Amino acid sequence: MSASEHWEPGAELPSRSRTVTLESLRSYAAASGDHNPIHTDPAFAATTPFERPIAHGMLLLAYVMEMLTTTFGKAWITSGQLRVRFRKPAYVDSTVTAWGTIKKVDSESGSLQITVGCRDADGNDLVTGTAEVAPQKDPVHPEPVEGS
Amino acid sequence: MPRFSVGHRFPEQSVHVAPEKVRQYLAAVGSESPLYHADSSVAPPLAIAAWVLAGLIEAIGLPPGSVHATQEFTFMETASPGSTLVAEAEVVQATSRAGMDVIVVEVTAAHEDRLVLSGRSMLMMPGSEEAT
Repeated sequence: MSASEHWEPGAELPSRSRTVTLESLRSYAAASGDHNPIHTDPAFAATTPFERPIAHGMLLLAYVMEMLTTTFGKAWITSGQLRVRFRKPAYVDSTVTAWGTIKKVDSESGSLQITVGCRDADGNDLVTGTAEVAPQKDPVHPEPVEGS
Repeated sequence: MPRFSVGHRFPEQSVHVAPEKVRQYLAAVGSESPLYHADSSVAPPLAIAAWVLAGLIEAIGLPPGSVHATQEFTFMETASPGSTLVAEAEVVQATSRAGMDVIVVEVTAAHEDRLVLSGRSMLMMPGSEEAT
């Protein structure tokens, strides 16, 4: 089975929304090892141009990854390619939505090109980019050997 | 002059995929993917990427005002909780623009000589004059 099965250009992936809280940013800092205080310390963040804590870019990317992993499973994490630009910060207490739209289906290779991103409740694009996923490559279920 | 030049290689990192760290990461990002919960032999690749980048950022010593501008990843193999990966990073572009040093770093993470993931990060940081 290929990753392209059932998908047509324009189809939307199941989007996912999350609220970025100070607690979630501190949890992510501890889990990722990225302890930049601009993400976790309101007093420090107040001294920056952002004036309040902002989400780690890699946390927003994790929301995009979760959507792609849930949709494409092992094919995604063994053949996926992701290219993104971090455009705007996600401020603490904002709700962000990871989204994806099928851009192109290669009927021969079975691969998909997907426009992906993350936006806030006001519709601001925080992260934009593209993802590509190749046909299913699942070593647990290898292709049958001819003649078997 | 940018702080780093093309070809600069950062110290190799050893990245241990501790099961407890994986659980902590999954909770922090709110992952409900059955791939990681039903199949505990698979660690989330972006967790590995995040640990690699955190080590890289520490090695660079990013000054305040730095920006993570773009990111690319290619995922090739899964890694299991409990495994230890080797991560490497090299500067492949280095320029100065509008008072900012801009570097592109290529990173890889491998397990027993098999690539698990590769990536490219564009990082912008206040220029050397401003940072000192």
